[in-house]
Amino acid sequence: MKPGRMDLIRAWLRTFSVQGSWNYRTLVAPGVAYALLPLLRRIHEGDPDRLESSVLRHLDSFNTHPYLASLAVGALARLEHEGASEDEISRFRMALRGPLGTLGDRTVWAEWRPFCLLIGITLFGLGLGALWSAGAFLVTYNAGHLWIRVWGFRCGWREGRDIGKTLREFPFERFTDRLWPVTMFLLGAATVLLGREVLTTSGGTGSWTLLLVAGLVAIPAFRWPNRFGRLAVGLLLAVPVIWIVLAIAGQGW
Amino acid sequence: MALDLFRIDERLLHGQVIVGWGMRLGLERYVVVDDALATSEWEQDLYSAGLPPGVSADFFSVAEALERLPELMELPERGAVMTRSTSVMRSLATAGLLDGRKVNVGGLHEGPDRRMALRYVSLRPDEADDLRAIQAAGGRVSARDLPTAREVELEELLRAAD
Repeated sequence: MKPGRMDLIRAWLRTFSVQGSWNYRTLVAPGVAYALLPLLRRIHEGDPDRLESSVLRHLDSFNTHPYLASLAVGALARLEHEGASEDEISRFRMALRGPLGTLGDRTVWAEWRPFCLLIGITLFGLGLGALWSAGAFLVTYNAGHLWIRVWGFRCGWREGRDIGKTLREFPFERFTDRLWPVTMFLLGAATVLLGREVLTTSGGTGSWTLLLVAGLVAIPAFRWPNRFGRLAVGLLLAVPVIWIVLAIAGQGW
Repeated sequence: MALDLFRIDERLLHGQVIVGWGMRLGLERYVVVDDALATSEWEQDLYSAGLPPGVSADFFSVAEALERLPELMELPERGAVMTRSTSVMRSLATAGLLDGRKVNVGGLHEGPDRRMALRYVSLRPDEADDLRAIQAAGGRVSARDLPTAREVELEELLRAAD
């Protein structure tokens, strides 16, 4: 039987827990199988044997970016609904895990999350309260996150095995690619704003020393990223920690 | 094509390959050699979907690969040849295409009759034979999942799978 609207909604909601049973052997497969279950129950209604074998094959090792798991669930349900052969489904699963992983990493982790974080940090630097700034990050970030989940599930269910064509034009990637210059601008803005914050909080010569050291590290890091890149990132991470310690101690250098 | 990577990996084009190897070596083109994939358009679309802009993939059957690889090797582009099985790589080796080339074993995961040699390589006896044959045909076989990982020579790999 064809799954109804309620079955689809139920499966979509279940994709939020897709990493709940993550493990090193089958990765997100148990989560994907759990999300598929309401759809598989409908598709193989009245045929418990087929239902069991289909659940078992979806428990086989599978990986995807967690947000794009919704696309996998939609597309796998479509293949099951169309009565695709076991071999075809296993080949589809094998081919799907690569692009869902790389596309998710490239767009969400490498572009969307830094962009949203920088929005939060910049707003904070401009004087918006800490809670509001964090809230701005969460709202922006999750708008993109939810959009991917809805888009993925709908496209997956609509296109089934032909989803590759749509993925090659993943609209979220075009969007984040255009955001890249904005992200770079925000990075510069956030650095300046936070630098000012450090100066005004700790005061005195100590903070200038801090900035001077940062500058001295930044130059070799740009020139020889392989040798000094990690040191620079390490110091960059250490600066806010030092700043917080100083602020708590409440008495500059 | 300056072929910088000959890799055996069940997952073919996935993140470890595209980001880990491709971006590091500056690969512009992947040649996937697989009889089933060469005729399946929807699978080709899926495997190509994760490629970064400007990077392309060709899907050849073994016969096509034997015919076209020698000429592709003359092009200036940097590329990789990928197979998902040891037996396909062996066909390329016995045709003399891998003489003096490094062959990278990147991902053969646990399965029936396979014995684990490394976290990312498990081998059946016939697969171990394929690797020996590739080596005998002049290929230099070693295992390494990422360019930053330790390279495991064939001898050590086979010992570990024993």
